[in-house]
This record gives sequence, C-alpha cells and structure tokens, in this order.
Amino acid sequence: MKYSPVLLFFCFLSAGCVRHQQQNSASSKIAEIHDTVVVKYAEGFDVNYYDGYLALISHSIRQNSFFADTLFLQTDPLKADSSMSYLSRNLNSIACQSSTHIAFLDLLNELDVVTGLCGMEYIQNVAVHEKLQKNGTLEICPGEQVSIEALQKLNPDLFLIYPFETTGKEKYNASGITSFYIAEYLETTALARLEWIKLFGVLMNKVNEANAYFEKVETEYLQLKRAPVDSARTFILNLPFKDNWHMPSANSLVVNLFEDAGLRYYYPETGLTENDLHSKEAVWNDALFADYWIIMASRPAGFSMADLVAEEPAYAGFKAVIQNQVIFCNTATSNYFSSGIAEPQVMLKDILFATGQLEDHEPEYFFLLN
Amino acid sequence: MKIKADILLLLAGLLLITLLFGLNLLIGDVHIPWSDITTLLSGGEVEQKTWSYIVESRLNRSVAAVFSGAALAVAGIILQVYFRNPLAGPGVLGITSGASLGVAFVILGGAGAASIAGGIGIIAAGIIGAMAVLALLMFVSRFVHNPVTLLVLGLMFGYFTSAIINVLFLWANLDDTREYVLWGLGSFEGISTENLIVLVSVIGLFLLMAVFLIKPLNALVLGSEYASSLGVNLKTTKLLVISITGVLAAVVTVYCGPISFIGVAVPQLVRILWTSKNHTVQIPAVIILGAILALLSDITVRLSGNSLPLNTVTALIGAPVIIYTIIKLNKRLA
Amino acid sequence: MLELKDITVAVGERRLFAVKSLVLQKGMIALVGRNGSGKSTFIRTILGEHADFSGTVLVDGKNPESLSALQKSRLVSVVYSRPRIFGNHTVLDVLALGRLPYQNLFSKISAADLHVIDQMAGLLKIKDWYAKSFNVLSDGEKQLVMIGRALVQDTPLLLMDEPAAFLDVVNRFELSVLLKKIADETGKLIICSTHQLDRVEKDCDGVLLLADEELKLLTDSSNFLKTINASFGIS
Repeated sequence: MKYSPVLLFFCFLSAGCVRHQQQNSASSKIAEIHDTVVVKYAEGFDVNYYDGYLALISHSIRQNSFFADTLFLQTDPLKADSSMSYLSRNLNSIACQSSTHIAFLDLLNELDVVTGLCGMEYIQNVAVHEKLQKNGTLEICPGEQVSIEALQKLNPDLFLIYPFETTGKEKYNASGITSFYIAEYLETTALARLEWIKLFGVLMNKVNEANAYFEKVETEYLQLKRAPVDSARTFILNLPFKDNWHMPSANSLVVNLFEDAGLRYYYPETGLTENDLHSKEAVWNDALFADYWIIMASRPAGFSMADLVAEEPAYAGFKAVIQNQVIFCNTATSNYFSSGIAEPQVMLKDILFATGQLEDHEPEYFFLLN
Repeated sequence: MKIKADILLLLAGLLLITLLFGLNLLIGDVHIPWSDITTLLSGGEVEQKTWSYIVESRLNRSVAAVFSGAALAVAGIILQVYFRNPLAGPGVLGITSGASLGVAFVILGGAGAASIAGGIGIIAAGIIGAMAVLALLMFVSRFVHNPVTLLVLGLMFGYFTSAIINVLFLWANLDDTREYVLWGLGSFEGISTENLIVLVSVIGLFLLMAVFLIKPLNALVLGSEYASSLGVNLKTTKLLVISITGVLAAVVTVYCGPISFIGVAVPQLVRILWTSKNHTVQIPAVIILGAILALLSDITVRLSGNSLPLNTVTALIGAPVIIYTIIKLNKRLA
Repeated sequence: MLELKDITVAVGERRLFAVKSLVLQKGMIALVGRNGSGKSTFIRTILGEHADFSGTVLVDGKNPESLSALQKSRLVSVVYSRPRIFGNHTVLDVLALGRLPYQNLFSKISAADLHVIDQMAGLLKIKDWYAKSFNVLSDGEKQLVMIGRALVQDTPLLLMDEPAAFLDVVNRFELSVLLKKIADETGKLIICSTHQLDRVEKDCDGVLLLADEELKLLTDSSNFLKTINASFGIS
C-alpha cells in the first residue's frame, strides 16, 4: 500500500479525530437529518453527517500546498459519541483572521458574534465597519501579525484562520483556542467561493438561510452565464509590478468569472501556481491583440483612462485602450473583497454590461474606464 | 608603452559597452528584429504599435544601467582612496542606506514616486540622507584609523537606518510599504524618459566634476598629511568628496534602489586590470567597467526572466572580488 | 630661507618652546629634543598647520599661513616617519607624485618631470627600482623612495619628521650620510628631527636643540654632542 502524501498529512494533522471516525464508520451517513448541507461546487470544504454529529472538513485544493482541518459539531446530543470533543452549537464569540470571513457572517446577519478581527482598518464596507466598532470588536493583529496575547485575552469560541502558515495553528492550539482553516479564496469559481456560506450556516445554525441565499444567487448566476466562450473577445488581466506581470492562472476564479461572461482569456494554458509570470514587454506585445483589459487595482476615486496611460505611455498602444475596452474595478472604492464575494451575479452583470451584452444595469464593481 | 596598453583597454571597454548595450536592446521575451530596432531608434515607425515602447523601455534601462554603474563605481573609487580603504564603497559605508532613509521618509510619508512633488522630494531627501551619513563618517574617521572598524561603522549605519525604516513602516499604509519594498530590491527597469533625463544629466554633471578630484586623489594615496604638502587643499577636497559621492550614490539609489557591490568591486578590478595609477586613467576606467558590470547584471536579470533580483546578480559578481581583496588585505597587514 | 622672530609656541595651556631669532639658509640641520619637547610641533608650525604661537615665521620671506596649499607645496616638501601608500604603485609612480604641484588638472607627467625624477633618483641611486612595486620594498628602501619623492618636489626647504624612526642601524647610518650629501650637492635647507646622535657631528651643519622650553641653534660642530648631552643632563 502506498499512502499519498496528502493522506499522510491529513492523518498527521487530525490524528486524534481519525480514530473516532473509524469507530463510527459503520453507522455513518444518516440521511434523515433536516437542514443538511450538500456541497455542489466548492472543492475546499465538506460537511459529513454521522449518527448524532457532523464533521466540518476544510482542505487544500491544489497540489502546491497541503493542509486539512476538521471540526465536529453535535446534531443530536443523545446519540453523539460522548468520548469525542465537539465545538459548541452556541457560538458567542468568533475571531476572524480575514475580512472575507466577515462578509459571510454579515450575509447571515451574525456580525454580533465577531469579537476579534485582523485588519479592522481594511474593512471597506462602511456599515460593517461601523457595526463592528459599535460592538467593540477587538483588533487582534496589531502590526500585521496575530497577537497571541490579544487572542488569549479575547478567548473566542472559535478562531477562523487562513492556511498561509501551519505554525500558527499549533500556537493557537497550545493556547487552548480552537481554530479552523477557511480557504474560500482558493476556489476556482465565484459560485464555489460563495458556497462557503453553507459552512458558516452550519457553524451559526443557519443552514436554511445559507442554502436559500446560495440557491437564489446560483439560479440568477446560471441564467446570466454565457455558455460557449466567444473567441472574438479576448482579455488580459491586471497590472505589472516593475518588470513582472503576474497573470492569474487560466483556472483561477477571476478568469472563470470573466469567461462566464463569454470572454476568452488570452493565456489559456494553465500553470500549477495561482499566477503565471510574464514579462512586462511580452504582455505589452500581447496587448496589441487582446480585446479587453480587465484591471482590479487600488487607485484614487475617479481614476480615468488618461490616468492609466499616464502611469505608462506604452498603454496607449494597447488594443483595449484604443478601443475603449478597459474594464476597471477599483478595490479601494468598491467592496470587491467583501460584498463582491456575496454577489457574484452582480459582478457577472457588470462584465456583461461593460461588454455590451446587457442593457439597463448600474455597475457595482466593474465598469468601463473612461 | 604601458600607457598605450591602458588606453587600448579603455577603448576595448568602450567597444564592449556598445556590444552589451546592443545586446540588451535585442534580447527579450518579444522578438524584435534588429532592423526594426534601428528603424525605431532613428525615429522611424514599425508595424507593431507597442514595439516602440518596448524598445524605449529596453533603451531606458540600458542607459540607466550604464550611468548608474558608472556613478556607483566612481563613488566607490573616490571613497576608497579618501578613506584609504579598499573595502569602502557607497553601499558598505552606509551611504546608500542614508539615501534609502531619505527615500523612505518620502515614500512612506505618502508622497508617491509618481507625483511631481514626490519625485523632487525623493531626490532631495535621498541626497540629504547620503550626505548626512558621509559627513558623519568623515567626522568619525578622525578617531578611527583601522579600515575594518570604519566598515563595521558603515554597516551599523545601515542597520540603524533599516531599523528606523521598520519603525516608519508602522505608520505607513500597505500600498506605500509595498512600493518601498519593491524599490528596495533594486532594478534598472521602469524609469520613465523624463526621470532618465534627470538621472543622466545629474550623473553626467557630477562625473565631470570628478575631474577636480584627479590630483587630490593622486596625492591622497600617500595620506592626507602628504597630500596637503603636495598642494592639495584638504577642505575643498573633503567638500568635493562629500558632494560628488553623495549625489552620485543618492541619485542612483533614488531611481534604481540600493544597488550593492558595484561600487566596491569595480575599483578593485580596475587596480588589477589597469597599470597607470593616475586617476586621469583610473576614473575613466572605473566609469567604463562600472557601466559594463551594470549592463551585464541587467542582461543576466533579464535572461533569468526577471526571476533574479538585480542585487543578487551584482552580489554574485561583486562578492568574490571583495573576498579576494580581504585575503590580500590580510596578507599585507600580517 | 627660514626665519623665526620672537616665537613662542604652545599647545593649549602648555608652553612648548620659545626662540628670539633664528635664520637658516641652507645645509643639513638636525632637530634634536626629548619626546614631547615639540619637534613635530616645530615642523607643523613651519608648515603653517599649527596656529597656536606668537611671533613671526617666514618661509622664503612669506608667512606660511597666508600661502595656499599649492604655493606652500612649491616651497616646502616633507618626509614623515611611516611610509604608507594606498594602491599597488611602482617606485616610479611614487616618485612621480612629487611633481603634482607642477601639473595640470589631469596630472600629466611631462618630459621635464621625468628629467627631474631621473636626476633625483640618480642622486639616491634608486633608478634601477623604477618598475619595482613600492609595497614589497623594505622599510629602509621605502623611506629612501619617500625622500626621493620629496626631492622630486623640488623645494628649497625639506622638512623630515623622524624619517629614521623605523629604520635599522645600518639604514640610519646610510640615511644620515645621504642627507648630508644631498644638502651639500643641492644647496637645499634640510631640517630633520632625530633621536640619533652618533652622526650629528660628522653629518650636520647645525643642530636645532629643543630643551628647557628653548630652541637653540648650535653651529660649533665639534661640540654638538657635548652640548646636547649637557642639556639633557647626561654625561
């Protein structure tokens, strides 16, 4: 028998839990439970139902990183194996490492449970920011890094973290704080990312609300989605740093979102990493032929086409610039990183509107640069 | 006959610069035929609209490399002779750190390099920072005679300024911090034509000013007492050394980031390759060799698909030269 | 050549020495005195580098403090005790540095410069060393080259601050004889501070004695040693 490294790593991380799962494997997967979650698109998380309890599992998607995490929650205290440890069903206090976690909790109207947050100042949604401030939500990452002391003082029921580094989790465990990996950003489609709302629904006992919201958006999105990709509308993405132009890989969330609008990515060959590195001048050359140029960047409000060309005169030669087909999302002024997650159908509409495939729409995130 | 060999070597160096310059225009991810490059350089037009920008970008970075390499190397030789220290250079003595601190104050203070006020402010702040460190070094060097001690002091200035910069990070926003970090990696890339004109004219002017240091440097190899008895005005010389090396190092640092090793290594190589000890020969020699090494480094960076930072490449070339110098220095002191 | 009138030299609060009147024209003069008696300060006073004194110093009839570095460099050349150079210069390179005060901005060495270098190197018999690397020479050889460099500077006054400090007995002997020969053949005024007294009576035309805060010129060569020893309190 040859164990795959993924499996080995998984066993290593959750060694204590695996034993119990095996004991219960015979009686697992009870179908009767109401308010269940069925995962349709997301690849990074699973909800498995057992007799009296459920397991929330999150794990890596791609080959270039390995992580996995499991949480157990009781569904029926009488039936659940009493030798296992479960997360409370009444969470009073959650700390979040990412503002995207806030977006999901906000959708479920559960912002009050957030007692600690990393990067409070980066919350762009004014209403959310005000609400958190009113609640006295604590900044737990002064100076970019998670402060263990602040976390211990807060002592949340659950700390939602992203799996950038695995040493963090060990530290939180040692401090007696339950943590859980949330890696919604690794999903390759906008619907899959939104589907993580179901996981938050399980945590907050709001599975029905979560399912309903997701289904509503899903239906709308699928109706808007343009099926065959139109090869006459190619696009390139983003801006270079110095001489390096990082193009999101062909299987990334943004590329899939724009292809759902019927556009065709100029770089269809996919690499293993999240971004493929191109040189500035190579992209300059490709830009002679690409019809659309979609930019997500932080710029001052009122950023115009003239401002863009002023940043680099070479842009004047881009086909998308000449034909006025630069689509811009200002991450400084729009809520791309918060509510954008919640409403992929609106982003899709924005793109369709910007590419003349939809009429009567007020752009929210993406608009044609003038 | 020896003078002739030195001059031939200078001419060969010039030829090599021309070749490397041409090579840096030709290579790249986009294949542009030489005929189109010459058409574009002579003001003509070609079919592909962005090619003119690609060639301009390659041209700008090549010109930036030539002038920056020359500037750092000249600053290096002046500092080495002035402090009578073969390991001195704008980087090791902390002069680029001083310039970096000035730049950090401006960038992290929120004035982007793109804005006009930010642009002028950054140059001024860089020059002030570099000259402040130099003045401090000259003051301290009165009490410190061991060449290695002076270097350790320079390194301490470097650590101290980077500590201050880290403290500044606390107040800076994420975008400004990233702009500073990117700048700190060092690169000849991305200099606009307007900025390049400033870089070329300021460096050109101060390289010409180095002519006034030829005689003082020739005399200073004997030490300041002897130099004075040979008719060198020490006060004027000190002023010239501070302003020329300060401005040269600062302008390069502001536009291309803190670039290490070229300033230390080039004068060493020139001492090995050229026989004349007259700085009338040595200064043109360091200018040419500095330009060559900078161009070679940039070509290496570009051939690596920009995956190697410029400072990694200059370290690969420069560090062995410095190690060789330290071994030689120890032999002499032993 | 060198004139001192009513001079009192001090370092801070401490008075070093005084002299009423002193006129030197040419010849080999030894500057003798105990440690800290002010030999180096005397030399720096003549160079216009030590300002803490009262009275008048005239070099070739001019106040050295009022002269520019370049003007001074054509009147006075110096040899210090430790010869050091930065760079791998040859002996010819070092000798040529003596012509710096006469060169243009680019330090070009003219045929006339080479002629002077040849002449002085001939006098010191070091012409064969031209291509040798200065750094590999012995201390004695290095000091000889430095003296050659000072001669090449072609000044009427040569100041030497303990040039023999790091030389062995044989080298000191040879240097002493050589300096006398140079003074005789070139007609220059050489003032050379030294602790070595065994050759003063034979090789010096005069002795400047620094003792008891006084600078005295001894000219009776047969009595040099006796007078010096008496003032130092040794018999």
